[in-house]
Amino acid sequence: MTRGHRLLETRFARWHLAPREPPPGVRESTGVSLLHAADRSRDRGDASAIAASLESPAAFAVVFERHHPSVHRYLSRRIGTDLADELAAETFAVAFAKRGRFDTAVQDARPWLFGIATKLAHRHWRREERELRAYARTGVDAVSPGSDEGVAARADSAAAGRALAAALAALSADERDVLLLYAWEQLDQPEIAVALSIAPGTVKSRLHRARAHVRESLAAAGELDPMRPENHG
Amino acid sequence: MDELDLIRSFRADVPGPSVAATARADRAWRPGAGRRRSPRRGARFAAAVAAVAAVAAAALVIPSADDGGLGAGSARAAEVLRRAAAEVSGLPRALAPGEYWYVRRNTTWTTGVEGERAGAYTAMGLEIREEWTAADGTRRWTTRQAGPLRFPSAGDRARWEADGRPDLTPPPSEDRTRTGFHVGIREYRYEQLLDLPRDPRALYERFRDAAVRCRCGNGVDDQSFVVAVELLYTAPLPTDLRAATLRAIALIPGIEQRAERDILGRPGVGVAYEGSEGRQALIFDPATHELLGERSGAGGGSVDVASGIVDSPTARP
Repeated sequence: MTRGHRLLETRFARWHLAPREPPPGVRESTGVSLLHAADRSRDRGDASAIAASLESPAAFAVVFERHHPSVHRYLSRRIGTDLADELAAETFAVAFAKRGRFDTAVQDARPWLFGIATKLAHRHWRREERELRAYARTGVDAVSPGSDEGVAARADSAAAGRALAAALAALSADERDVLLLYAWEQLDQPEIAVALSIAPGTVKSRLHRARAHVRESLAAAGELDPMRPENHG
Repeated sequence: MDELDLIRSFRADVPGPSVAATARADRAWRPGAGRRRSPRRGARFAAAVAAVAAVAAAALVIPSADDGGLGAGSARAAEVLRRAAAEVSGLPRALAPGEYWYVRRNTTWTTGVEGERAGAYTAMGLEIREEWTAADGTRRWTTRQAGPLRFPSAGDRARWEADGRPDLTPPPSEDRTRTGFHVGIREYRYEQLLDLPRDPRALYERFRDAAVRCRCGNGVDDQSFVVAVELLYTAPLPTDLRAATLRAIALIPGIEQRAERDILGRPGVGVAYEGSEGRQALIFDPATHELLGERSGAGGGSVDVASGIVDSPTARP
């Protein structure tokens, strides 16, 4: 995004980024992914379902039902519900088509699925950044209209969501991939390496850089104490 | 709380997939589902419309016919701003608790649409927005649309018609929010805003500092202009601070004086910054130096048609 478009976008964004029409169809709650992720078991039998689906395709439904909600939420948080509907579906279509190449020694299909989803979402990184910047400027989030309060409640500051949106927008798309898979989906570094087909050392350096950038931006915006010791979690 | 905690809470409340989206996705992977790339017909169109804010902005820089060619000249632009600062009007004093600053603003919006049955086209509309802002940073606003869709060219209109004349007009909306006041990406309380320096050089340094911190990918001067214009248009600045802001803009290297028309077609003297992908301009009345409006590219812009202090978020001056 560039400066020349900013004001236009801001002006225009106001009506659109404001409360949206409820999307068609019934919304179902999938619960909060933090709990979902923290609670997840490492062995859910994904590998056996995928192996079975080579003989009997319908067996893949187990994988779909288990992971479609979290893949959708991940995509939705990054690029909005409309695209998430489309790309989450595509993620499983791609996964199904490539299931013969899934390493069944790995039980958990999440790194593989989130890798596919992340690569699909990459087509839309420009939109992702534009919407993050619009949120940072206007305080209204097109992707999740209620999320400002969500962050504010946790951070005791309405500005935190905006500052964070600006910080995430300023990352490279590669850094954002690693950081969000780590923070949102709680994939560990080796899993992220598998998901994104990059070297574990690259994951480590990208994650380090991304966290440093975000800390710096948040501190500059007054949303994080710069003196706080780094948490290497 | 560290940055990871903040990131984890960021957009944590997005809705899950709808039953309908889940059903479409389930069909999409199953053998015999046919073309899997587009499990939802119309998704592309919906996404295009959903992304209008961004798409419009990125896709559109319509050459303006209003380039009067008064010539480049930061000095002349600075002189326009200094005169405007001397004559500045608007909120005469800082807002008191319980008071609201009311603004009625006409804004043209422009959207790029990737048609489902025709090629990409551009449509424009006029939005009337009323906004009540209080000193505590809360706002109430309403929007409605005025007039039919307009198109920058006959070709755009033809593609819209071929696309089935979709209704791109947003519905009326209303909300109450707390958005605070911003200098760049940093939020200020109203008292902090009022504490901004009246010295143009010192204020310019604040804008510049905000531009540097933004790391928005624009040039610093470019972004400084954005920060200052956004402040003018989003915060209830008392006249002395508005004047200081105009004088501070005069110090941004690269500003130019140009002939511009506002979105109502009134000719004016523009103070513009030509960024890497477009121009943003403040437009002043040539005789009185009153601020008429602002434009971004030729497709977007706004004019304030009424303003004043009122004592409730539903009252008009």
